[in-house]
Amino acid sequence: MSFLEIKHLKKLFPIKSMFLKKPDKFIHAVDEISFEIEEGKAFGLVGETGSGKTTTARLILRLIDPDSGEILFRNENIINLRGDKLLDFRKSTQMIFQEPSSALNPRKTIRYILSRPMEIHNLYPRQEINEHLNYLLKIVNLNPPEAFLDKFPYELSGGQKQRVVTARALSLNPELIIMDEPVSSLDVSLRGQILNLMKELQYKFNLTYLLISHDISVIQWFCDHVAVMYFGKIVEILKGPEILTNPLHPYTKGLIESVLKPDPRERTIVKNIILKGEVPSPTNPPPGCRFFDRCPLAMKICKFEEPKLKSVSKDHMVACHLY
Amino acid sequence: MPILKIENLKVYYFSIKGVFKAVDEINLEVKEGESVGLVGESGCGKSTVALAILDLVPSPGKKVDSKIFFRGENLEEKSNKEKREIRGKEIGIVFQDPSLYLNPVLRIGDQISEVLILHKGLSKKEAMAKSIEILSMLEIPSPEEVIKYYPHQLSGGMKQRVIIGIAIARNPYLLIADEPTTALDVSVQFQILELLKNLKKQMNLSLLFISHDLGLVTNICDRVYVMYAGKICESAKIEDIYNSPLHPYTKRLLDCAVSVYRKEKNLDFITGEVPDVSKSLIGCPFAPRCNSVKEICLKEFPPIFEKKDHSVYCWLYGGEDELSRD
Repeated sequence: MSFLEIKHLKKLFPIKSMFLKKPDKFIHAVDEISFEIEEGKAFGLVGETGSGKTTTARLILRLIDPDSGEILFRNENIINLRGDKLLDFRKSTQMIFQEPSSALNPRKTIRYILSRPMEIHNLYPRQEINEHLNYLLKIVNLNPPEAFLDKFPYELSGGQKQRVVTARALSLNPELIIMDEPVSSLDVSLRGQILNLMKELQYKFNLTYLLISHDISVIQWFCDHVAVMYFGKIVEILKGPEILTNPLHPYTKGLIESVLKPDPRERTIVKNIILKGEVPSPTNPPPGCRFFDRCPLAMKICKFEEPKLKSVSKDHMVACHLY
Repeated sequence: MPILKIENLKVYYFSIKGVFKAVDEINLEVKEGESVGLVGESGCGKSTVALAILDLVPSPGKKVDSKIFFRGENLEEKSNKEKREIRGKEIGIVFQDPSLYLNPVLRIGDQISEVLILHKGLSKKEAMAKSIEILSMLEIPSPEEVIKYYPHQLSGGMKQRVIIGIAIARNPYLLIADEPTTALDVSVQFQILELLKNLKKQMNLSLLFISHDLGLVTNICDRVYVMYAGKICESAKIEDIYNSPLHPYTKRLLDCAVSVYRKEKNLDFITGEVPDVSKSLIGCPFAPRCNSVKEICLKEFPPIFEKKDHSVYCWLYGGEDELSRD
């Protein structure tokens, strides 16, 4: 039984042109993607801005409804959940957002922010909530907890805020945590602190992660499996550490080429920029491969026929006509 | 002659809570055609240095008897009008978040040509033609179209290119880039850095590149200053910084940047935070977070230790045994 399985998930956003006129243009945010996440593993989604990563996350959390497709969470399709069942599902999935300062209400204390989810879901009796607050803050290494409980978000530093957000996500004992660019707004010196903590929590509570990032260096360190997304499609799925050593799709190669290694000797090597420009406007995708315009290895067939995701070896799938 | 020389720069913020020493006695030099990095965590005073060079420090911040020499002339002795000329013409600046620094209600073409009309005295038509030229230099596709766009129609990377375009429109001698790629994707970041490198070559620019990521700075700079709590703690050529960093803070910063690529179980990070600069700091500011802290570190600020082009402020070096080893 798989933990989370996504089948042919699709979401189009209509562009309204005129009053009362049916929209004829759509933004193809997520277009027929399928993947699986195993329990207790970290799954990464990588791609440039505008490739549909965040939309995928929001679909999985049921923050928006998909046009078609299935999301199977412990073999139950969550797309049509309503009422109490939906509330139960919400408890088992949590999200950590990119910018910790905008994910925390500036007018509420940390105590309120952390206790509110537990109150809403009636997790513990009122007297026990305080104990749990202390426990949560200790888990995320905010010691001593009493010093933080009555502070407001603006009194904390960026790293501390991100840890409060993490504590809030953990407060409902979730099984799946979705992290949307959790470290891209933090200094490099703090990045390690947050990622180490997440890894530690993964083993401690047997959490499953979906990590969204544009930074391959973070993804390859953190994730067991990675899906590379481009233009609403998954172009490659492979094991996390292999993304640096054995990428197949030209887009993945381009992404890796653009990762800057800290060694100054690297800079004398003349690199050819594979990824020129940016993700094209997603309103009308081309009929063939969506990477066609930017691909250095494009062939005739790429223009007319869309490549299917096929597996090339165990745990490695790629959607490209080259393979 | 260095293009920019900062001597004893102090920027203090005077508030009722006390004096915040955002930048405290720093010396910095950018030679002609050189790219220099300024690295440190958030809150170390890097951006304040950039603002101080342009004399844009917001109130209640003030520069306290500092000297900033730009092409041999002391900027502090100039009138506001002269400073304005230099700011527009000779020093360009690129800020972190491109969407904050473009006027949302003006077309791209108007924003670039504005500076050309103001400083070069071109007519509107000439300025527009020149704007198109600048945009194509920045590798923006179909610049004739783009000049008619408003900022919201461009992506983050494109906006940053336009900002760079405005900064270089007047052929400045010095370009200050304050975290120019932090808000951008990794792939776009790579493109922007390549662009900066090319522009530097083409226009013979000097570059002051400010970033929190030492791993990024190694890719573009010739020399680096590492800053901590308003003070410079180490400066050296980039190869020296990468291969043999001396200051413990630099070592930790480098570990943070590199450890992602090593197959280690845990990533490196620096515990603790940048100290509060409102209190008068006794001793080395990094001492509370330092792994190799000694007794003297807590009492006195370390003197400079210099070895060839490498200078460091740390008590670990400069002892007698160290010198005899050389």
